[in-house]
Amino acid sequence: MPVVSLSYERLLRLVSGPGDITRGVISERLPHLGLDIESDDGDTVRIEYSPNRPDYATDVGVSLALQGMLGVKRGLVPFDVEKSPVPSCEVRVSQAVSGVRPVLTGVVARGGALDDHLLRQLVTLQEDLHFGLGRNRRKVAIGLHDLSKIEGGFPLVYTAVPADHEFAPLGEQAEMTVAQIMRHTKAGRAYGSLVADGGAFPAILDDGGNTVSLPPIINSDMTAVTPDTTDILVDVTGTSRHAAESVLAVMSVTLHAAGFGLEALSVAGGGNRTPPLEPRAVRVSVDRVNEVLGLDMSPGDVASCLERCRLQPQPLQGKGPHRYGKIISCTVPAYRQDIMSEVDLIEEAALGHGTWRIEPVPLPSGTFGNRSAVSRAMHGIDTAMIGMGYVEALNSSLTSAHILYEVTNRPVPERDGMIATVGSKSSEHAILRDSLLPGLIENLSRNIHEEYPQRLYETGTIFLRNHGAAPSAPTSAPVLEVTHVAAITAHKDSGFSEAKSVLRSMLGAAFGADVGTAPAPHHMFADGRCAGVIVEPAADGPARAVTTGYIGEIDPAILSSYRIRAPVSGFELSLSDSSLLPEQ
Amino acid sequence: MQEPVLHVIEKKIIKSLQENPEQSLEELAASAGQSLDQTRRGIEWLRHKKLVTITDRSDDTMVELGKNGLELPGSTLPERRLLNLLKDGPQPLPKVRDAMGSLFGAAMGIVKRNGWVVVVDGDNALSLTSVTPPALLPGESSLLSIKKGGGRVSARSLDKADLRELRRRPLFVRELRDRTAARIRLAGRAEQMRISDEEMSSCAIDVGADVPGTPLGRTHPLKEVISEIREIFVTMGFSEISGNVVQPCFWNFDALLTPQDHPSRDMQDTFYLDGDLAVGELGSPTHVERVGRTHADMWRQKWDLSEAKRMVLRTHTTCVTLRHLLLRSESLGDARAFSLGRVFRNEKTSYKHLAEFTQVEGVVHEKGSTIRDLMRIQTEFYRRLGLPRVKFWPTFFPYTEPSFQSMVYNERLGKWVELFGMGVFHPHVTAGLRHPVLAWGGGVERIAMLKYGVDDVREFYANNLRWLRSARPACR
Repeated sequence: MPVVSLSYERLLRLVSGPGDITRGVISERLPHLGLDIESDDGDTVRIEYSPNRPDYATDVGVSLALQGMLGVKRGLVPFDVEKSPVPSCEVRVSQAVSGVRPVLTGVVARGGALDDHLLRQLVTLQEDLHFGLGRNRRKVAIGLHDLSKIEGGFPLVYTAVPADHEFAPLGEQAEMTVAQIMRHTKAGRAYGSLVADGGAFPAILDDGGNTVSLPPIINSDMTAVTPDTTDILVDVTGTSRHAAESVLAVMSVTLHAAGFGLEALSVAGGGNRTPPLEPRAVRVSVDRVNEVLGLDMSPGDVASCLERCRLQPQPLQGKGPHRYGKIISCTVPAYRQDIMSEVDLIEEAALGHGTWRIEPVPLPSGTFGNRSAVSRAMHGIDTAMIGMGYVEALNSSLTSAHILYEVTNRPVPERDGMIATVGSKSSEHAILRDSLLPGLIENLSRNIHEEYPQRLYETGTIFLRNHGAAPSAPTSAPVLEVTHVAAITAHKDSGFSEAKSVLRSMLGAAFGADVGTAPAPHHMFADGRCAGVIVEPAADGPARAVTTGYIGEIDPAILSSYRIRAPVSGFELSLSDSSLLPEQ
Repeated sequence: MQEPVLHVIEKKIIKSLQENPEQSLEELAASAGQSLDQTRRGIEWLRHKKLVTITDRSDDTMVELGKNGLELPGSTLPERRLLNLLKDGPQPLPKVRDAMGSLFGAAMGIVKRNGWVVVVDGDNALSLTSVTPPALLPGESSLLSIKKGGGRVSARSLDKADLRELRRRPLFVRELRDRTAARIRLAGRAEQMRISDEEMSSCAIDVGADVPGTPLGRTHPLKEVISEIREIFVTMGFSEISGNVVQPCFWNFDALLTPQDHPSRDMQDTFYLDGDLAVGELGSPTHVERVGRTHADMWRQKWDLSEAKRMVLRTHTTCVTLRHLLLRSESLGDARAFSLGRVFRNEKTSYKHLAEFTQVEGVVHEKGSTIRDLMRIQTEFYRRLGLPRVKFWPTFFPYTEPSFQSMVYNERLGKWVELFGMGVFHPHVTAGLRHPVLAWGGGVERIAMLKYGVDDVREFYANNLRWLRSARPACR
């Protein structure tokens, strides 16, 4: 989640409430706006905000919300965009960009006073919008320009330029070709692939043919915004008009609240339009608000809560407390793209009411609780194993080919059954385990300096490709999930007999079953000291003479590659395939 | 002052030392009639109680025969054998050389130096001289003592000059530090203690003495927290459900309204399985169709069915609870359900992040339940876990509305810690159900960290036996 640093001094000035609104009051309220305080040194507060509220990226945006919450100002944030019949600023969109990045919108902000602080915050907001709503500039990218530096004047044209088109990109004195920018600038390498389409690149040019921007990659140096800039042109380009206009709305309300006057940017061509930036209406039922929040608010109360969230409930008629109906139509400004339907307004009502005022109530319940049958079966195994002095281990389901295949001398063809994840960030968590014992052996290797005897067991899920052959529940899922138990002992007298004896005691205590063993070779065990396990069910259970596990003395070669000196023996058993678990 | 409680082993040692005040370990074992091991333990206990002292006379060494000494034929010095050969008169040189073998040179050196033997007959024979060798040759007295002492004697018991004669022969004797030289003596009040014969057979033991540890069998500390959580849910009327770890994107993301281009669906954050694993059926055709339409409406972009069929390792257990609710919606009356299980995020592991961890999730589907009921369940849940101070802050989750996070005060860290997230499922998520669904959940390891005072979450999956054998809850 994004984080922003805000100065209390600026917040207090922007909120401009009465004297009893102190730093303390603000820090107490921030969490109830949904803003997590990361740190607070009394002067600066670092807050984490949700990506669905990009308007919280600046102190300007946060103070608009605080004004509502603290009752300084309610209802819609004043916002108007001047639309003159003869627009001074115009962009024409050419068909040449329709294949790659067809959408352009924007606004002109005049007569503001930028300082270092505000400029830094605007850049933060811009980056944040790029990352979130903009899907890392693929869907939307924003350009900020100093209006007075557009030498060639309006109208601008949004069109495509060839790779040998030259201009000086932001931060460079010398002209470069587009191809050079793609290769030699950081932004070019990062975002060039978004628009590399047959050698033509979207660009905004002024009426004199000067380059204003090469979206979504970089602006020109000519129009760079500085703390001295008073008039700003905002361009927003992308692939989704809805997303672009949402982003523009957030930029606009922030600039407006920061003291800029807004003027429409006239846009035409390629299916584009001058952005309306108009509010819309969303309806909410007062009963639904009360049902969800467990409160008993009147329509007037709910309306008042919504006003505190800088929304504008519309009265049916007249004045006074009864002027709102059971269904409230609420005006939502364009920058609140997160409000889509009734439930969003219910949440707003909760915030406006003050979440600290919503208190727990007892819940009448007529239900009875149960552990799952599998949990109960596992508890039986736990009791038996710890009774025999075993310590339970927990390993990740994701493991490495090293542990599962290489160290255990597993035959190469078995690798065909491996279930790998795509692009794991660590090789230790790259494939899904299909047995538990390799993990337990690895655990012993980490404990060779600890006191012996060492006894470990684990129960858990293992994963198999579904070839339709396994006795586990027939299913169409591509991956079978099977419950296994495995145990292992390491000490000087550890051997086959002990392992079999432990398995017998566990099966008897937990399931009333017994164990049969028949010679069978297995790559993890020493030759001649290894057997397949056949679970012999309790008298009333279904008989099933299939091998569902392995037991034996671990191959000394495996132990020596792990530098384990004590002999090790153990077993692993599929509980699902041994008919020991209830059907889920 | 109270008499110390003594074990019968200790009493036997004291009694024996009162009769014979300074003994070695072996002597004491023999005289007190106990095994070496018992005696060693008894001495250790008594030393701890300051009732015996041990003097280690480490300047003393034990002498035994070395390689060459042991190989001597008849355990006789070579010069003695040479003298014996000549005892009955001069002998031809080749005959003596044959008889002496490899020892000839060494023996000749000694006898010639002492003037006991001369070469006669033009260098062809050997003969004794008039100089009579002593009855015991230098070194012979030490050699005899070693043999009599069972192969090993104290250097102190031997004549120094005599021993020196053996020491200078290569590999003839070995000298070792004397382990038995440690002498045990009574100290403090032990000398005056009266120990009757009757007491010697008493079975009173020192109940205050330290004891060796017993290896512990136990379930994993994290499992103990999981079991505790399971029990709390059950006692609050919830039933446990479980589901698959490997899920189609449809249930993990789409049914929960996560846009198909949302960053959390990137390979960067989520484990996808190899491309050839894709599921055929996702759910009921009406549900699939409705989800697709909702996505198109809400996110204003085309919804892709093939994307929904890709398989992922579930990133939360919400897919399990939701699937349970929706697939049983026909028969479902009031329901309180919970699920516990592993979830996955493609993250580099660190002290606070795991790629695979445990999540618990609860849902309530009951007529008339509100966010305040949910707060009550949370408060009660944490109270039972031993976390009494709870508050709720609004937050954002894509599939609940409104959404809150619970903040729990941690005494050890002295601060509020973010625990479970909660909210009411978005109506689009639970379309088709009779009532709104309350839901909450979060990571179990975070709670286990608080309970066990663990600061590195990786400890739970390291299977370090020392920790597993000793871990105790820091709070209950």
